[in-house]
Amino acid sequence: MNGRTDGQTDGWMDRQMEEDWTDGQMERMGTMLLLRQRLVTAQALGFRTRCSPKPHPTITPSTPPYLPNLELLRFFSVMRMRIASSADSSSNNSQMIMADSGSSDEVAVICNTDITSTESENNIINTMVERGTALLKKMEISVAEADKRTGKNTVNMQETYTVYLIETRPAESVSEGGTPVAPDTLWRRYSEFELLRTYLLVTYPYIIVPPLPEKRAEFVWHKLSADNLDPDFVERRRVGLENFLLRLASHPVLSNDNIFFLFLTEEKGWREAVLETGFQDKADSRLKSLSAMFRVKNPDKRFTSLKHYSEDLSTVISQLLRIRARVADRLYGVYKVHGNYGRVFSEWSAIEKEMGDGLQSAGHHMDTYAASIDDILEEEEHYADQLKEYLFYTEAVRSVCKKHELIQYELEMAAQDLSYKKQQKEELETGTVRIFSLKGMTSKLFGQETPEQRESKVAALEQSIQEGEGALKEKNAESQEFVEKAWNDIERFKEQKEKDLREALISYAIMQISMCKKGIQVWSNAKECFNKM
Amino acid sequence: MGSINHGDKTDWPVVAGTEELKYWEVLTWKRWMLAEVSSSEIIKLLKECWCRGGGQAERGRRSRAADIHGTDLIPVISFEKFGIVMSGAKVPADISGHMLDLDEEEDLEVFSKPLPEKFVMKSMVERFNDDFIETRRKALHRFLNRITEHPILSCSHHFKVFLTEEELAPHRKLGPGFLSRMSETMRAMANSVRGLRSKLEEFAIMQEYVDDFSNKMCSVDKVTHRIIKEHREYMDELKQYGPTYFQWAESEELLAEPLKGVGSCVEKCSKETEEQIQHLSEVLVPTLHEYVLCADTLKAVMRRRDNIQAEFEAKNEALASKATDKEMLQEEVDDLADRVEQANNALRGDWSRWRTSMRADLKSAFISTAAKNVDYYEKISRTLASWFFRAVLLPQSTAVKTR
Repeated sequence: MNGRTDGQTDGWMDRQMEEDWTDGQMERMGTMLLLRQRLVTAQALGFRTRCSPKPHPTITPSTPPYLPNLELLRFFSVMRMRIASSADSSSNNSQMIMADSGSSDEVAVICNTDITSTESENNIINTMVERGTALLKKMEISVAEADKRTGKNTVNMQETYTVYLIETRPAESVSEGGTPVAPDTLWRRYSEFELLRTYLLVTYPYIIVPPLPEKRAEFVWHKLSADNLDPDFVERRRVGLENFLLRLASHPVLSNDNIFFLFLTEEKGWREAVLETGFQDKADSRLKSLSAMFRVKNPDKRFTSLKHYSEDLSTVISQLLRIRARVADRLYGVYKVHGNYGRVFSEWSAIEKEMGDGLQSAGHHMDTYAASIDDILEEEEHYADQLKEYLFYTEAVRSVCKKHELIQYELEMAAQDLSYKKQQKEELETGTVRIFSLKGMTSKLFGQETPEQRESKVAALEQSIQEGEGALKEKNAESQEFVEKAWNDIERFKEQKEKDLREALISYAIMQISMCKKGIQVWSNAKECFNKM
Repeated sequence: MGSINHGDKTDWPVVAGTEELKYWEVLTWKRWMLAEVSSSEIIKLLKECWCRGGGQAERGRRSRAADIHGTDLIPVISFEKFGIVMSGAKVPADISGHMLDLDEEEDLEVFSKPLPEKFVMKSMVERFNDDFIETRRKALHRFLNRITEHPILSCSHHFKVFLTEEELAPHRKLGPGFLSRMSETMRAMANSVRGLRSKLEEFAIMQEYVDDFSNKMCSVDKVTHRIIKEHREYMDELKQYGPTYFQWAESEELLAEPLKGVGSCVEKCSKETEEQIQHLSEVLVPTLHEYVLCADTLKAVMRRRDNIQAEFEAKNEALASKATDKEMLQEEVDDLADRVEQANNALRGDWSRWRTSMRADLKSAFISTAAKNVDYYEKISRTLASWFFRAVLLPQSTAVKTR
């Protein structure tokens, strides 16, 4: 089975199912399906989209989470049956029978019987990270709701802001069956998330810290409002924040941070705890890191190329997002104009006798077609969000590179400082003036200094040199430690990025296929109606 | 079939179908439009083509038509003719202008299919544009066909003249010229002011329908143009979207293949959209446009029928009131009554014919458009699906191993 292209008629998916497969194909398909199943199930359950255990108050029940196209789902289910049946026929017979009946209701049942809620929750977390961290093994985290609050801000003015409900639940509670244990909850606003992230950035400069969802809506196409209080924006932000927390919780280093843990568990007093760590003092000044960037002589080549890569990635993703927004705009226009057909056909059918019925029903299909674009584009926003996450990630990558440059620069400075001092000492000891200095000039003019003066100077220098050597050693160790830890995390990040972006592209393709199928359906129906004209 | 002596007209075949006319290369039309080929050559070609085609069936059809309208095969002659109006300097020396004039004569009570517009409103230069010529060729072709299918018009003397004679100039009537046409129009206006006494209800219904139909056709036409415009803008954006993926693929390693795949899917999409636009422009737009023009022609014909009836009624009234000249007036009245009768019948016949062809044409145009849309989505979803399988299957096996 290979990717077929043109020359096929409808039902190519059915033919794929009927073909005989080799073992190798089955194995590959199986592996693919396992991954697909996780993603698809996760999507079906609203992972990364609307993952709330209870329905969101401002989202009507009619807006479904990512329901993957049922036909694709059925396809995968049947494939899974085939693979499972080839391995172990006995246990899957009942499921096979259900698969063959083929109605969509039973397909849904198949999916549900395969995956219990525990498994599915685990699948969500497993999709995040294959290894699993201690924190995630202990507890489940979700950002369940968003709410509006009013309060006084720093300039003592009333303002409306949004708060998000963080729920944490011990991981084992669900498997006991029955009703799940009530979660611990607390409310956080966006600025607190920002504070947490800033703290992490300063405390772990060698880690690529996951980014927050955007503060203001960017890359909008005309239908989405740029208003921060718009419910759709709030909802997407909620999902983004949950994603942020899950990424932190699944990071091998960051998940163990105490402040992060307190963020999830202590509502009051968290802000004070953060400030108490004094992280703000550890932060590098902008000026310092900027000058380091220009003056560093010998940074690690890997970091340099990584920095360039992240700059390129940032540019290209921004461009992609911008154009995608424009494409979405245009596509919206195309679909909506067909709504005019609906109206005109309807009016026209009123004056026709034989053609009336056909025209009228064709008009209805045109209306359906025009209305379908809203859901399609809303789903596409998810793809945009995934790309945006990596766009923001590039900034984190760049800041790790900058930190390396800073440390390297400081190391170079320390080494340079030390060699200068050594040279000075040598000069003083041997009496030669190699370096042109004011001292040398004045000594020439006004005579040498006394031996006592010189000795004390030499002694001072020696001490300074010793301190310098100590400092250099420290700096060196710091630099090496930084490079090692940073590169570790960078490798982890690279793997994560490859996987995530591939998944994003794949789900984008699924979305587009689903859109095409809807289009085929509508226009086939319309064709039938025209036939009846 | 009646044994009607057509005289030399029996040898005159009906214009054959599209297949034969394909024999006319677009080039010939194009050259004709560019005045490289003289009109006489075109007429020769036409004649040749007709001699080749036209079977028994067509002739049988024509004879049947003759039956409906009585023994007189050239009823047009009994209709009042207007002079040929020279459209003046605006009309280029090409033949379509003559065609318009000649055939408008017969349009009194019988309506032909609308002649394709002479000008595109944009500019004179565009007349020689390939697309425009092609579109016009097709429209003229349909126009000619319609006339030959028409039972009355196909027998028209003027039509035959147009098709067979080398030089049209001597056949142009210098007679009732512009002025007489003007006076006729004024008479018509006067009559319309008086109003019709008793317009048959069927014609009233027809009138209302035609007005509504004209509106609807215009709307559908406008919507279709709007759709084409939106498609074009969409396609333009897609043309920028695709390359961005390729650009991204350049800085990636493992992701390069999937990204390039997505880029090529987007390219495929834009290509298909282009084809879709083309299909709409070639199939749906011309048909709709034709029927927009048709509706206008319809309205004009119905107006003329009304005029004849009004004239008749006026004369009738005059007859009733006047004492003298009764005999002559009576003759005129009878004559007019006949004309009204003929006009009504002709209209009725043509109406049903028109309704059938309208329904068939529009139905097929819409079906074709819907089918093209289905095809569009199918092709795109196939490309996407093949990318999907490649993207999911191939790297997955390596990824599994590294874990």
